[in-house]
Amino acid sequence: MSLTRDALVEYLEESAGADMDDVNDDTPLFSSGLVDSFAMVDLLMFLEKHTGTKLGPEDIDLDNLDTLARILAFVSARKQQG
Amino acid sequence: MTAAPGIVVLGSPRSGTTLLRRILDAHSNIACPPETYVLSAAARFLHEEKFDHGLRIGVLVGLGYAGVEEADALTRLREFTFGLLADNAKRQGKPRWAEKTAFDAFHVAAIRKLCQGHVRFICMQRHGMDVACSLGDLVDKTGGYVDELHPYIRQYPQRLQAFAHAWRDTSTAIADLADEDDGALQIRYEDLAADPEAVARSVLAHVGEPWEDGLVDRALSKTPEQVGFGDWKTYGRAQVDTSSVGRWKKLPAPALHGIAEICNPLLTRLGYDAVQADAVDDEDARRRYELGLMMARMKAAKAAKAAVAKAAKPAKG
Repeated sequence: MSLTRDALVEYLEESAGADMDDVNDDTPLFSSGLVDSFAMVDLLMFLEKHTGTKLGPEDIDLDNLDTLARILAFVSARKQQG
Repeated sequence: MTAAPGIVVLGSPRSGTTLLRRILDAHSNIACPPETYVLSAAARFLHEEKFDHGLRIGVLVGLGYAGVEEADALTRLREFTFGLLADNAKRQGKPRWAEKTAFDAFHVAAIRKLCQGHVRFICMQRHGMDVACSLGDLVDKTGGYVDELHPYIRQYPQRLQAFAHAWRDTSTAIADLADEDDGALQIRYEDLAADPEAVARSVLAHVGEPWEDGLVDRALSKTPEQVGFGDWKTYGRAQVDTSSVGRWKKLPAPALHGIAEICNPLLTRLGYDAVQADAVDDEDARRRYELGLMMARMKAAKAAKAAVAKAAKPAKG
């Protein structure tokens, strides 16, 4: 099952307590402080469970995780890698 | 003419009681000074212990052996404590006193014994998980734990759980008071933050004072002559907002689970939704720790990259 944008936004609102009202696909989440370190770790756990893979240090990078668009692209790529 | 009774605000520390104090003090008939600790001091004076065989020891029992009736001792203590607060009101040119000291919440039983039937109580409640988060801020800010928190910290080494237990005990005692005393009004911080005028109006109606236009704005804009003890955050705000509501939602899952179990029964009683938080198993806890380390590594790399970029940037001029 692919991760949809709506499901990701809902997760960030409900579980990370982030205010997603003014967030677009390219709004920085972590580097702007909208999502803090604790919530980011929760998000990583969520992504691992969703993709069924373990993330490594090379994956945990703002290039992969700092916006909705990057997270969705990263998850999609991980799914394709199987 | 009988003077209007005093007003006592009770709420677990970090429940927004300083905001309410400022609103009360801005009223032309009410003087509510920064925290005086008068009532908690009186409560300590009244402290007593009871043993298995029923023997009570404490000042009221002790004075009883010296021929002083309990009611008489309480009357004299009441006259002393209320008199100090009434004198302050008189100095402010106001006819009525109010008292708010956050840590009074740990002495509700004795304060009831002293005050019940002689004051109007305002009972402030706030979501327990937000209180626990905010108590953490307080401890970080002050660099220590007040005496009332020591038993909780000793018993519960996980700090948020200690604060959640403290909230549960104090807020239960305050909710019991609100349920049992006709002279008590219970309000919620979340409602005060969302609509301060509506809640302030209900408080003033309860204590029998008229509404004054512009009261809330006056309370927030007034430069205090004496900041005194109390919340520091309220003085940094020009208006009331709800930014401190729901902070608990950002807690990591294991912390949330730990305090949800403690808070949920009382949250439900107070009209909040119970918080659903799944237990975290050992494997998840280990993985969370590993991911936290990787996050720290990413943050350090990001900071180093920013420092290099800054150093490479040519100086202006």
